[in-house]
This record gives sequence, C-alpha cells and structure tokens, in this order.
Amino acid sequence: MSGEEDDGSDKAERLAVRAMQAVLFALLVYTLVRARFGLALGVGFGLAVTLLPAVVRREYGYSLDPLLALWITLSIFIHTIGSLGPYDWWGWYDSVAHTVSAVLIAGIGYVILRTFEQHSAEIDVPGEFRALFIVVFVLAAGVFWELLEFGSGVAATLVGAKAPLAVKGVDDIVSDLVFNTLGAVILAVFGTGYLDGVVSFARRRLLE
Amino acid sequence: MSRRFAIAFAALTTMAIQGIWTIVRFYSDQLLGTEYIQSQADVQWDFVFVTLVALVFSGAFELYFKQADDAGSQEEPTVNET
Repeated sequence: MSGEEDDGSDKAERLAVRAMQAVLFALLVYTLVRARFGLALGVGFGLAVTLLPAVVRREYGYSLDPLLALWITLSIFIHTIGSLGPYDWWGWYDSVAHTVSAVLIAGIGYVILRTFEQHSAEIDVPGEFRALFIVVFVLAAGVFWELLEFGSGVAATLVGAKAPLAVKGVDDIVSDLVFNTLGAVILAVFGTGYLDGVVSFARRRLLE
Repeated sequence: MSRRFAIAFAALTTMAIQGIWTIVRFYSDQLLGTEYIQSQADVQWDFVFVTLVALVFSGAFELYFKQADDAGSQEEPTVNET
C-alpha cells in the first residue's frame, strides 16, 4: 500500500523511525557512560533490531513498507522506554506495549501462513481462516511468552538474581493476553495489505 | 492441508485455547464469583503443561501419520529399494 502518491506520509514515517533510533542511540551512549551495562544491553539489542529493515534493504535490495518499518521501531521503542520506568509507573503502558507488539507478532504469523500457502499446493486457506489463524497464532505466542516470563523468573530465583521480566499477578497475565488478542484483531482487519510485499520477498528468499 | 501444517496448527490451537480459557476463568472469578484461579503459579504451570502436551502430541501425530502413510504419500513417495 505504499504507493508513490503517498510520498508525504512515507517521508514522515521514515523521519519518525530516525527520531526514535536517535533517542535509542542517545540512551545507549548514556547507559554506557553511566556503566549501567544491563540496561545498555537491552537498549543496544533494541536498537539493533530497529536497524534490521535497513540491513535487509542493503543486503537484499528489498525495502520494507515504511509503515511496517515504523511499526517495528515503534514496538521496540515503546518496550525499551517502558523498561526504564513507565512499565512500573502506569498500568496502561503495559497494555499499549502488548497491543503494539502483538500487531507485529500477528504480522509474523500472517507472513508465515501466506508464505507456506503460496509455496505449497497442499495448503490453500480461505480468507476467513487467515484471520482465525492470526488470532490463534498470537494467542499461542502469548501463552509461550508468559511461559518465557515464568521460566526467566524461576531461573533468576535459582541463581539469586532479580527477575528480568516481572509478572505482577494473574490480572497482569490476563490483560497481556487480552491486549495481545486486540493487536491480532487490529492486524487481521487493517494490516494484512501492508505485508504482501514481505510475503513474496520471504517466498523468494527462503523457499526457492 | 499439508500434514505438517495441520499438526502445527493443532499445537497452536491447543495453546491458544489455554489462553482463552485463562481469560474466561479470570473474568468468571471477577464477575461471577467463581474460584477457578487459586494462584498465579497455577496459571503459569497450566501454561507449562499445555505447551508440553502440545509439543509431545504434535511429535506423536507426526510419527503416527508417518507410519500410517507407509504406503507412500505425495510428500514422501515410497521408493522400492530392492
């Protein structure tokens, strides 16, 4: 959906990506200077992920839809900033973060499904099933994520460290799952058109 | 639908239903006064077991279908080795 007629918003999206990367970079420098290496590791990893679209463009000559690149950066940005405090300050922040990143997870599920579907003659799914698949994929990923949080908590307790991914009760788990599902529905309804380019890219790179 | 895809989707669905079931139990406790969820650890261990069950059964189904398909299938045609 990134038509040439829409250059203005493409430009704004690229600018927003650069701005968030600049903030993350400044944050990385700051955490390194203050010798907060645990934080620096998280920030650095996030920053590296936001550079992935640029790497793909360089290595494979494929440009992601600017809105998609923006969404990847945005979910990393929200999570990284959140881990500095907002997760603890505001209850709603976690919900926003889960919704935004669930849209991305849903996108990954959709790309996987469509890539296989176009690759294999045996898989041929109707449109309604795609939406169902996206929601199922995100719910399962959500359960898996809670599993990782649980596992990391157990592991941290065993070595006597502070749990890196804190679970704050059953209501936290349930609201994570609910907002994950919201993100999946948002992608299923509005977002799939942005991903068809990625699907044909993935098919060319991975399966042929 | 290919065999592997069907199996993977079944495993995902198993986990997804556990997610929905957790949401339903939580709101039932909140709104209807039931006491399904006793503790956070309960919910988390449920996730662990459901994921294990999903993985183990996917593996079992994969093996089973492989055996049942012994006569050869589109994916793995039987080659006469003699």
